[in-house]
Amino acid sequence: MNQLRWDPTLAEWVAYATHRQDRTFLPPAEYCPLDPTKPGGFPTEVPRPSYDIVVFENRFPSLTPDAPEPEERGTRLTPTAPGHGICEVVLYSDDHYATLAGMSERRIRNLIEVWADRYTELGAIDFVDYVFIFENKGEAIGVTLHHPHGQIYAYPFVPPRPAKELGAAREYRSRNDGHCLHCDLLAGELEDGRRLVAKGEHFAAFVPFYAHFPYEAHVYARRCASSIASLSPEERWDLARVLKGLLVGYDRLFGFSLPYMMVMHQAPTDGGDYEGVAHFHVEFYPPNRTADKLKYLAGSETGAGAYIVDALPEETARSLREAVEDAPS
Amino acid sequence: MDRSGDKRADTSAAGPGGTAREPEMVKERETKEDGRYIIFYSFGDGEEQEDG
Repeated sequence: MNQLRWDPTLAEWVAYATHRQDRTFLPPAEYCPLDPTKPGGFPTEVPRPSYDIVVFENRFPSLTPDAPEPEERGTRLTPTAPGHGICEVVLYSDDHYATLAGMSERRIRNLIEVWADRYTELGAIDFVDYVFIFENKGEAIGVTLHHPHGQIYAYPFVPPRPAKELGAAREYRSRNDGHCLHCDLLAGELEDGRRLVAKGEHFAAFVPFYAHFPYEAHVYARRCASSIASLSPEERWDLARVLKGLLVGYDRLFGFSLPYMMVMHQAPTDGGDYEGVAHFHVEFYPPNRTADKLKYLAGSETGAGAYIVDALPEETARSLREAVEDAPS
Repeated sequence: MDRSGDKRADTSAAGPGGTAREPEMVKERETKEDGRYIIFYSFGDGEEQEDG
């Protein structure tokens, strides 16, 4: 059962998917459903003995293409809607123990090709207004399967956080002679330099001046590219290099494979005009504030929407930059 | 859920240059027994794909 319910107090949709209660939870490695199906072995999600990169529809989707009209009709104030959408799982490798940080730049480059393909294909579907590409990594984030994978949610609406960001960018553009908010932010970070973590020819990674997590990092396209699909071949290679550097730095930071949420923000696919408003970038939110302490989204963050951060971005950026620069090439 | 406007994913205007080799992506789409799709992407770059 997939349905959407409208929260009129926050003006946003909430998705309900009760069948997800039954999804596979931290199975032992030998019964990982994302491994390839070995000859004579138990059947996994992937009916081949090996694979490169695989995408499939989530068995426990939050949104489905054929969601029926909800039995609960709601009210004029609190309407409901079918949970239309598509939820995909992206398998980065058939190696159960691999991580994105440990993968070659070439494999990351190939993954970028897959992400761009999914953005284009899913975004062309009529009911899909936003293609959200993300990865939850580590039990601290709540992952239920350790196999290296990400997810894609094709939403029937522009979700609240990207919508808020796009709104801010549109307002900034209207008040600043058509300037792109993200281009100006990036120019400021490149000029200041204190929060820069990694810099390539076409992409740059930095801890934003206003980071909400101590080791949050954003990876911006240096050109005002509105989506991953609009990146040139050179830009895709450079994105792979900058992502690889940042990820290796994250793992060197505390000496273990760092949990994180990775999300991509880019142009919605609702037919609107996002020229100079949407600026493709990747955001990382690691939950760790130290090696053994996590940042929790507690009362102020969850109930008030006001983040309290225990470390200044200039300090965390310096540590992260040193971890990136000290990594063996 | 505004349905107005053109339905078109942004795939416009790649940036400057164009000399780096594009991966040769092969995409095979199959349907699983329960009706869900699965897509196999391969790139034909053999050992270059090895991770390190």
